Amino acid sequence: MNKAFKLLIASFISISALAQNSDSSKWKHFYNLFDNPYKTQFDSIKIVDQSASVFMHTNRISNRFIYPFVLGGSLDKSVIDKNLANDKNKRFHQQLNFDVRFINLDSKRAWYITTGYHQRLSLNVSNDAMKLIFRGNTQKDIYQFNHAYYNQIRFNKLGAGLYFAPQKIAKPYNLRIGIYGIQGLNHGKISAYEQNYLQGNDDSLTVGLNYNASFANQSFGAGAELIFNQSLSANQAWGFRFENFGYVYSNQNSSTYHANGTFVFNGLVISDLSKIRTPNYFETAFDSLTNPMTNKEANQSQHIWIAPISFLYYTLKHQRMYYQFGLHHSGNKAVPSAEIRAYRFMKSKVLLGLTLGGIGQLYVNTDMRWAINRRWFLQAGLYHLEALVWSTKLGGMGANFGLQAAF
Amino acid sequence: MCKPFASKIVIFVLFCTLIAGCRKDLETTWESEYSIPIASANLDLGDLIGDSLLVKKGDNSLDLVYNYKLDVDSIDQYLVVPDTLQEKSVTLSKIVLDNRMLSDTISLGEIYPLAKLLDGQTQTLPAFDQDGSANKQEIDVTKQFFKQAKFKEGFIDMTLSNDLPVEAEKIVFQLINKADNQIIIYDSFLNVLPNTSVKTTKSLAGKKIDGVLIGIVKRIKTKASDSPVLIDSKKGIRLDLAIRDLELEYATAIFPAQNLVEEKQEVRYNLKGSELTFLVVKTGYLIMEVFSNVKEQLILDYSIPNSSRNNNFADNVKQTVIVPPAPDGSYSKVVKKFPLDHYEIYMLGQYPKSPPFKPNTIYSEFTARMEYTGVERTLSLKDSVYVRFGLVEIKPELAIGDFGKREFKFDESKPFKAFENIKGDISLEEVKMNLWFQNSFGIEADMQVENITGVNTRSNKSVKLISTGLDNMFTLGRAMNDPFIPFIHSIVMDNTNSNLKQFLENMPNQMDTKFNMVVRPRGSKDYTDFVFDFSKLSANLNLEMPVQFGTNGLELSQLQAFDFMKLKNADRIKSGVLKLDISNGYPFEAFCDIEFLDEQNLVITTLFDAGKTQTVLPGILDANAQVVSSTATQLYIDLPASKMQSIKHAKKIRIKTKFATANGNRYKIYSTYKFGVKLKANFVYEQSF
Repeated sequence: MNKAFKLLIASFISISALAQNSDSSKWKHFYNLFDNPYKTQFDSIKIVDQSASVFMHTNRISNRFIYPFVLGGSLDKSVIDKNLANDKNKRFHQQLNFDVRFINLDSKRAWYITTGYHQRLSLNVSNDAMKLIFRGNTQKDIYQFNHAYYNQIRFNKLGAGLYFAPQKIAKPYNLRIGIYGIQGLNHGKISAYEQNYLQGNDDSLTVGLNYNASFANQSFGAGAELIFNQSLSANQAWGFRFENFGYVYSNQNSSTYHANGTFVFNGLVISDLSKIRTPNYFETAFDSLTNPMTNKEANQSQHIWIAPISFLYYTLKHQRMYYQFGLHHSGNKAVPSAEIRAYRFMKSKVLLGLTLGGIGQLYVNTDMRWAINRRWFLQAGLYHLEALVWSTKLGGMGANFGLQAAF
Repeated sequence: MCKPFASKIVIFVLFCTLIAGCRKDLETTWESEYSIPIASANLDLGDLIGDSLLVKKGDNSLDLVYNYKLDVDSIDQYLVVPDTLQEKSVTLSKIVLDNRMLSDTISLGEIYPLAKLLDGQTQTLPAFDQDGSANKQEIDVTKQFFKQAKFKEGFIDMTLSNDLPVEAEKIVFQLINKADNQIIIYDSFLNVLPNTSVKTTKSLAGKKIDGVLIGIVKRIKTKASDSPVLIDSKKGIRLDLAIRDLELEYATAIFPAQNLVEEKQEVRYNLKGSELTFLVVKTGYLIMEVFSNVKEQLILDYSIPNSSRNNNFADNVKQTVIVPPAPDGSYSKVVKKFPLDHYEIYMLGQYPKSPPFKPNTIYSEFTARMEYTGVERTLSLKDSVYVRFGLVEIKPELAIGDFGKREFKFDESKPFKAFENIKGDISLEEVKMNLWFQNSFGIEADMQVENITGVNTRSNKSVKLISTGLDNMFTLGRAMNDPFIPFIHSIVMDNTNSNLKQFLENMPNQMDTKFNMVVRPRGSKDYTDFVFDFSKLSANLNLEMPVQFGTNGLELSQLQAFDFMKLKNADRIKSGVLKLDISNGYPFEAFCDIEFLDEQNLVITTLFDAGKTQTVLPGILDANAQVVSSTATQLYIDLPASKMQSIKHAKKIRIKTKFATANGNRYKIYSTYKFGVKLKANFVYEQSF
């Protein structure tokens, strides 16, 4: 056997050695995680996967404030006062994802079909706007609500994709590419710029408005997802995910609103007292006041781009712990958040993780994966443990759940 | 896919659906407090009592003008024209056919065939005695006369002319129906000299004759010629038949034009005491109903010769109805209704210009006729026509005549709206009232005003109106016509000749009136009284008073429906404070309150708590007692949650405003005075999400 050939054999062995770490036998239990970079082999299996997650993040709004909106009931005045004591802008993000997939992993051809429902909401309002809504207009002379935004979308998707996982290469990777049709259920967007305010009292009210808004109902389009994972060594891996992004078009199914000006209201002027008994007198008069503030145009068409939910990560295994450093973006106007997730095998079939993250506000998440048996797998997790503990000061909550069956 | 795998898929999908479906509709509520302007208005007296009641004078002061009208009489009391219809049922008493003539010749050639060879020669003719039974001539009259007929009356004239050169000793002639060989005529002619004629007439009464007849010369016997005669084989015995004076029992034929019914009639209308000579129809109809079993088209003509339209007698009432032939075994029915709008009808009978005059009488002419159609029909004397015709639903536009003496009594109580929503005390400066009667009938009437009393049902006080102008009976003359001018009798009342001031200071909301009236007390002038459809006799009350009064407590009260919950999201208003900024430019102090009432008009709550009514101060007066500047007042109304709940249950509100002048002084009101109101609110609103 010549040297070159031996060297080749040796390098081949070392490549194999690179791909396997000390938890390889435990990772084998989790063959439902078919795109796990620590997987050492390709399994020809079929998986039915259902996963759901719902969470909300808030900035400067506590869970005590949020609970009545989630559970119903009345919002206490003291809670309102406490949350509005800080004059800075309030942010609120909410997301709900529900996916069902069927994955067919075949050595020759791996594909999957997927369907899901997704919902995102992102809100940024001034503290004055919050005061106006939750306290009224009796406490200040002027309420400013510049640079506010509201974005919301709900959509269904249905599609399919291909899964690639080339074997026997130095740094194995897997790639999932999916495309789907999107049915937009509704979409709303409000952008407020400068010179938005309310000023006045019971004598006279002045409203400054400078905004654009649009609300769309049915829309249709297409989307895609791209998920990549790669094992760099036995203890290192990286990857990225771009999910649930696309484009939909609302064909004459949306309404737009805009205003840019100052409006003064001194009360309805009744020029003929005998007419106030006519039906809908006040409603008609009120409409004539509000119409210049909205300039509603119905039956408009609209192009809507849906940003991806993105995640970029690097994982390092040290001793028994895995440390995943990630950058996360929720597909909305919020800044990305950085996080570190630590996880390990508690038992051979249970993987437990804890995430610490956030920019500006810390959050703590936890997750668990359980390989129940050879067929069934369960995931569950909680978001914002810190807000659950400090509900009077911090805001945020959420949970996720997943169930897979493999055949 | 194997079964266990499929079942697991189903379980998965169901579980996922459960997760997605598990969603609860939850409402979150909180309370916010808002302070907003609501409404503003600039009111004047017209907004309170109606602009139509106010008249502005040169110095901008205001007069209150109120008109009250009572209709005491109208055309319906005088004239109701009843529907009047005539009925006629006639059979075809007379059906006629035209007279007809037929002619036939039996030639020498037919009697003596050898004569044809001797044509033009002079020969001696021997005697002949020939049985002509075989010599039959068919006579077909179906096309030009009838197909079949049975005669009630009629005659056939037979003229036999001997064109032979020898004497006809005996000719026996027979005419029979071809179909049934019934003998119509059987006759003999004796000793008819050459070139002479004999005539005989037979009756057709009771005979049924077909349209196709056979004429037979049963026997022809001629004498020999005395000498040679010129032979012309074409000449012979000529028979002329003339049928005349036919009256049919029935016939199938083409009938000539003829009148079947002719009626001229005068119809007298019962107008219950009125006697009319002339009538202009505003609306009404001529109705003609015809039932006919005559199997020929009938034409019905109706006319009223003594009528016109726009004074054009050529355009009088005349209508024609065409009745189609009756089908076999059935009858034809035609019903027509013709409008008579704007026709002028003289109601004095057939001769309106010659005595004796017959008022209420309309002369009309009616005929039912057949025209020549050229179509074969079957008619009989049993056929009949039933006709119903006349004038219905007549509403007069103008009626002239004598409407009779009538007596009426009017005793009515009617609402008087001038002080409808006002109670309290009022002190008036000067008032003037014009009570005037307008007569737009062309009929004289005597009237006596028994009583005019103003009743204030709120204070249970009544004041009878006393005036010298009301004491005596007065006559309302006839209105004039062309041009039309109603008659007006006016009685002016003021402080000098009546108790009008006291009458009005009682602020009546009901007027009791009693009149006696005798119409046409002294007879009609040559039947020239007239009534138009718009004629009325009305009593009118025209009140004029300057808006200048003083009061120690004049209250305006207005009840209206109210449903707070109809306002969008009204149920979310929990409590609040209303502020009313008032700018009072009137010289009155004002106190306002609102009572909230339930369906039974029971007070649930009031805007102001008892004893806490707030006063709106009067405007600032100058030395001339005119307001030179308004006074601002803010009323503050607290609406706690408990009162808010009560207001939400109210179904009506009564707005009560009380005015007072300083020391009861009287002030003139000017059109420039305004009452400015601005409503503001501070309220707690329950938001929800």
